[in-house]
Amino acid sequence: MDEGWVDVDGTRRAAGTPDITPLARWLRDELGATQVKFGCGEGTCGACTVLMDDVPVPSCLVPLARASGHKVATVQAVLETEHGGRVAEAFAARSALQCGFCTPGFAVTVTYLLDRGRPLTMRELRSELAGHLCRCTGYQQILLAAADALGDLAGDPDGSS
Amino acid sequence: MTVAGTTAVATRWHRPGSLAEAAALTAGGATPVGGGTLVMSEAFDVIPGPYLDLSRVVPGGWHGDRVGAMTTLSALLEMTDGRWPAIADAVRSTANPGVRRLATVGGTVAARLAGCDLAAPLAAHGASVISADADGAVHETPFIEFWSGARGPGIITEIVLGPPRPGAYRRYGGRCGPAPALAGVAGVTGAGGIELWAGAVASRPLRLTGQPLADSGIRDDPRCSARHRLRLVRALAAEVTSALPEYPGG
Repeated sequence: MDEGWVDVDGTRRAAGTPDITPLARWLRDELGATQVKFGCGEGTCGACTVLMDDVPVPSCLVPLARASGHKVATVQAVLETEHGGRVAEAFAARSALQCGFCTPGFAVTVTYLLDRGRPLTMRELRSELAGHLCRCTGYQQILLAAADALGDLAGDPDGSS
Repeated sequence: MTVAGTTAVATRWHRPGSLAEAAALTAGGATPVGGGTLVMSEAFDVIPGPYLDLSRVVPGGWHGDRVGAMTTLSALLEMTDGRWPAIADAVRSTANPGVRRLATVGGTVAARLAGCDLAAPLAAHGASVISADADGAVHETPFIEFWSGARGPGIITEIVLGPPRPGAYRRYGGRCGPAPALAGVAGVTGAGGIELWAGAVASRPLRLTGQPLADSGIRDDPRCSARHRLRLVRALAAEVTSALPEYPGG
């Protein structure tokens, strides 16, 4: 039976009766996972991004019932991986944050891109991060940090590639 | 749908074990859920439950030109990129990568949202919709008829895209990001020439025949007047035509 639990950051957590509570709300309100930020509630800002079965999704749009029986990784677990650590270092080195509200979502997606291992031009990198909004930084430092973290996978941040 | 700041949402969530059960529940008023984005997003009106999780009974993936209705838009993009370029362009224009990893092809078609990017290229390709009724009957309905409401409740199981063809899709949404299209135009080349369809300007995609579109039935709302939509269609049609490989210099 695959209902009634969600694997969150490696621990199986009881999810109760399956319903359409947003996964992001459940993670924060029931599990205290405040590293998952709840922003727009419509999948636009990306602040609530988590990995569900290793793929980044806005958890505000995931019904808890749909997450039932699946693996969810918040930024906390993601940053404990080798690639996650590389992303965190790059964001720190580039000062790619101000208020930090959007940072967990960006970190999850950039780590996924690193895990995926597919080369990206800078234009493609911008497109991949289009589901994340930052109201502080103007994105430049975030893009540079993402490119740093991706290393050889990313195009030249100073060029058109 | 939730009230912001609350966690407990009392709804019924059905996870049927067969297509027939799903179709029967739909006929009884349950709301089918593909990726769940429309049900969950605070950008849309509340869609009442009970909800019907189709993930166990409706296929994802694709073979040939047939796409399982539970295929996500991100997977559809991978499938169509380079072979159905008008569809791929439209998928790229839809929402953002995170949402596209959740939203499904079947859910997008079933929702019939006015600003849907996918509708015009599906119409231009002559796509069709495979659906199942509660009595077990399977229907194949031309996409444009399905979108126009000719087919009643049922469960969408597959979309048949039709053969791969050169094409392009251009849209205008008013701002960057996931804003729904105010107007979009898809063009596909085939044996009969260029097939141009406008989307997001009316309740259904409209075929562009070279004659001016009639004013009646064009969406007129606070985001965009009907008159401006018609102007957008003309400009986008020219862009799409010039982007097609058969166009001199395209």
